[in-house]
Amino acid sequence: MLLAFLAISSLSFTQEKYTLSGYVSDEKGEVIAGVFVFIPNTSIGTMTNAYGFYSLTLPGGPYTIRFSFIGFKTKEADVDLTVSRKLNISLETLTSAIDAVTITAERKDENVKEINMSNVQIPARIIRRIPNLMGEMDIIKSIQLLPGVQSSVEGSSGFYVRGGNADQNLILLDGATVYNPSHLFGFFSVFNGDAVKNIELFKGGIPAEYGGRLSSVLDVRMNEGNTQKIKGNAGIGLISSRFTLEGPIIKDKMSFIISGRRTYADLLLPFATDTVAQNSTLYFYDLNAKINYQVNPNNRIFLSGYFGRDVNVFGNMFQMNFGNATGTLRWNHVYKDKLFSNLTLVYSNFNYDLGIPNGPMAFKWLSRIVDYSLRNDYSYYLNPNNTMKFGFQSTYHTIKPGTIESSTGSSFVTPLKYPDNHGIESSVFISNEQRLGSKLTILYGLRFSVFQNIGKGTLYHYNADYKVTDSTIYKSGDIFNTYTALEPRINIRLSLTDESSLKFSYNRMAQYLQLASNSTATFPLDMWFMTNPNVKPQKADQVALGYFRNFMNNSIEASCEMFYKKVYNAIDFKDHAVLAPQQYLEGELRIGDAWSYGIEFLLRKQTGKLTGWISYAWVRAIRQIPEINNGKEFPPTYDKPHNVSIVLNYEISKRFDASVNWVYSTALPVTVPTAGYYYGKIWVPEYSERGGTRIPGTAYHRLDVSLNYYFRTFKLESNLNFSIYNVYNRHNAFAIYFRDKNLAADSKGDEKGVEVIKMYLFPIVPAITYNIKF
Amino acid sequence: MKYLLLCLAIPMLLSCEEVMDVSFTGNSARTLVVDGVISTDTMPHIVVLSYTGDFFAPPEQPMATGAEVTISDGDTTFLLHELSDGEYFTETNVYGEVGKTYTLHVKLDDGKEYTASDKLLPCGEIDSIEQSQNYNSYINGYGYDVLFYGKEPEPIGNNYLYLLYVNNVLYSDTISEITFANDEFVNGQYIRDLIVYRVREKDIKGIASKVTLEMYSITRDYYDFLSALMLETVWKGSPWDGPPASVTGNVSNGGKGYFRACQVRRYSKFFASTPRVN
Repeated sequence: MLLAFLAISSLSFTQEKYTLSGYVSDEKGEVIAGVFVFIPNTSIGTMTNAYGFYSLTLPGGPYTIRFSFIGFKTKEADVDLTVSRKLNISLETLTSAIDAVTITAERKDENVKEINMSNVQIPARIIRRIPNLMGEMDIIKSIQLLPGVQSSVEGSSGFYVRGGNADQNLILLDGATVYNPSHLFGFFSVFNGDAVKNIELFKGGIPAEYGGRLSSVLDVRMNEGNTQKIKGNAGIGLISSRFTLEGPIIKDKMSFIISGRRTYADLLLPFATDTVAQNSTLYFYDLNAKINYQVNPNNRIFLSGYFGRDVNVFGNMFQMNFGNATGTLRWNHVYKDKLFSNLTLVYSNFNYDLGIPNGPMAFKWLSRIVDYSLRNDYSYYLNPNNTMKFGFQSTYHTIKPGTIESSTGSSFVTPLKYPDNHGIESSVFISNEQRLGSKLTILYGLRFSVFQNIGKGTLYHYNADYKVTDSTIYKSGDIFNTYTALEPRINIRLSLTDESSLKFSYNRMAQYLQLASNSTATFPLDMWFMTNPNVKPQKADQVALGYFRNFMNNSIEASCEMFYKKVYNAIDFKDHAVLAPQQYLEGELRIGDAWSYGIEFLLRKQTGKLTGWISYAWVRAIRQIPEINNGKEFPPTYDKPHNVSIVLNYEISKRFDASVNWVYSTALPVTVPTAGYYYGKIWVPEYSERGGTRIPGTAYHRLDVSLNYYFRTFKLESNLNFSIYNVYNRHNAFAIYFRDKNLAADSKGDEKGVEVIKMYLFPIVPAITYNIKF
Repeated sequence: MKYLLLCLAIPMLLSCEEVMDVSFTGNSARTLVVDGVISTDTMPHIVVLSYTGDFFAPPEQPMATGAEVTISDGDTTFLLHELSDGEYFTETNVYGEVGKTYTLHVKLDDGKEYTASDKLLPCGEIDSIEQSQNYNSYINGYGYDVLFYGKEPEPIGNNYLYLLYVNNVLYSDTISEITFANDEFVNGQYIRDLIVYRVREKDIKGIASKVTLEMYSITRDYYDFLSALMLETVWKGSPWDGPPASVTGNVSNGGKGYFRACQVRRYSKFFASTPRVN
């Protein structure tokens, strides 16, 4: 396969060629991904990879090379290419949008010229300006504002891409899978804004180097630390405080960054009327750290880690703690200027424990998922017309569904352990981005993935009624089941004019791990489970077609994309499923089909005083499972066809900027009871159709505003951020349900009738945050 | 399960509720609903038959009268008599036996027939119950815990329903107040100080009141039925509700509700209205 690629691509070798390669970084010494490196007025060029590396192979001669990236001053370098050489470039940040006004004639047409479609990159500095709940910068809440990305209910860190479920998103932090992106029951996400450099989201057209989830990839990259001087910043907010320190260990060679955050949500609890709440602890913290070492021009090493934890203690009655930990060791090596290698070792762990701390019923329930992963991938810059990527990845998953310990000697709870599950998920991939003339670019690739269940493990056998009949125990190291999948990927870009292009993509994805969750909110006790002989892997095909057009000298980007996605072996759960703690989880699953389709419009402006985007998406998601809803089609709980987001930031002066965002989405589908009956004196609902009604007046909309004021405190750069979440105090439905009036807390027990109850979370929430840089 | 729900309850402190002003029309077609039990007590056992109604216009319980009702253990068939509208009773000398499977058979006046079967499982024993020393604050005022003592028998898989009587009057008189449990985390253990019920102080009349705990063995099927029933009614409104769904019992032919068979254990104790400890 590889040889075939090489043969096709080496036909045009006539003149002596040389390679110009190097890294592009900012003034802090941090590498920048996605920088356009090109020869002005030609179609010859490339883009820096995720590690800031570029390589251009050109016939010998003099060239002017331009380096361009949004938010940075464009730089040009004159190069006389008579030998292969290295050129590292440092770009200067545009400190203010006002400076940007003077620089307009730049190539800002990534939107039109890039091969990928259905993907968005957002630098942390943009996310930082989006108003958020309680002033907490939140990456996941920000991507929920993009077209085709939906939140289910308010306050949830779960996101749904193009009608796919929340567990179909691959969330990577420096290459490590993050299994639970939420803190504090989903109201906040795990990514600390100060530690994040850049995020990239793929909604479709997912390149061959990514796999393992059906719907999207969210690739989050952490800052590497300033290689020039010690810098820091600190912030005090309504709900949390943050602190970041970064700087050189060896100037220009080695740097570090450490960033921490802790909330004090417990401070709200004394206001609660309940005595248990008053005696409770409720907080989370997280810590990000990274070391970056540039050994020599051809070798770089990174070590990064994340550790976060939620601590919840409800008096003497209950405690629950959960968190993620990830670690990444990465070695970037450049072979012969054209071949870039990335070797990564990854550790990822999500675990929770819950229990009762004291008394005769004292116990502790522990559950965890642990990954060890090795990945080696290569970028091969064959010539300006062909960039190849290939590599492999292998991950050893261990899922420990549950262990129960009686946490005190006097407890009568029986110690218990559910069998662990082990699996090896491996893949090899190859892709080539090939330019055919000046108009047409094709990125084609193939991924081959394999999932193996490996002992020690217990496999339960189920009958047609989903009841366990018996089980088989496999010895340690026994591979007792293997699934494979061929996953072709293709992206095609056709330039129509200098300012417009047409793109098409197809991707097939396979998913071997899924989340046991059937609620709309993010629940910390959700547990991942593997495919095995009882659970076939889910697979998805997606096609997308898009039109991209830039206006006003590339300052306004516009795009329209249509997609259709089909999921095979789609997993849902039976009615009243018990998902955790659960030994026989597979008996709760029901399998069927899922599909979604839609159209997305995005208008985005990234330069000038006014920046931001306006998006509209129409997305339908549908499922059909034989045992659910009498086998009829039904919408999943998060299906909201119409979605509007307006996200705007205006730089009033060098001292002030203001932001506003407004979101709208269709009312959630509600399952309305039809008949009822008495059992045990309670009026019990009977349903006929799942998700059949959208109640008028329950559409979701919300306006948030924020204002930043920049000033100096003792000569240190500082700013105050004032924000208001839900400005017009709309009581957006978190859930709608139907209740016998006798079950209301203030009921006297003699009422007849039914109430329709709307539960909502956040009224208007003002916040203030103070940040200081030193 | 109860403790899981406790943890669910805490974040709900952050949420608010409001009653919406919307109206719906339901389906008023009638379907049979069964609420029946046969226990190891020798007594008239009762089966209540009623119909479903429009969910949004709850009627007075529409009773199913004039039905032919029997309970069979495979060998013997007991005939039930309708003593008041929709309430059918066995003779006074009838009792269930552990290990037998009991089948309810109902033939309605319109000719439709329904059956429901449940197995009568053995029940663990109550050593004693105690009144808690502590005087605790509950949502509905102050009161005492009813503490349970007894050996939970092997093997794993036992399920229990508890009912409480104060001065011989059913205290846990709606489904929303009942306690039920399984032995998943306590299999084979000697259970101590387990809070099975709470008695409000104002309900202890005079110096002391007789508190009786009844413990019933139930099948896993009935346990799941009760859980589903609670999820759709009493426990509804947590941020982590799954999708709503109809509750399925053991009545055939599309009937609703449940007919259960169980062994029963009892223990009584006088609870004093002593001055509070703390």
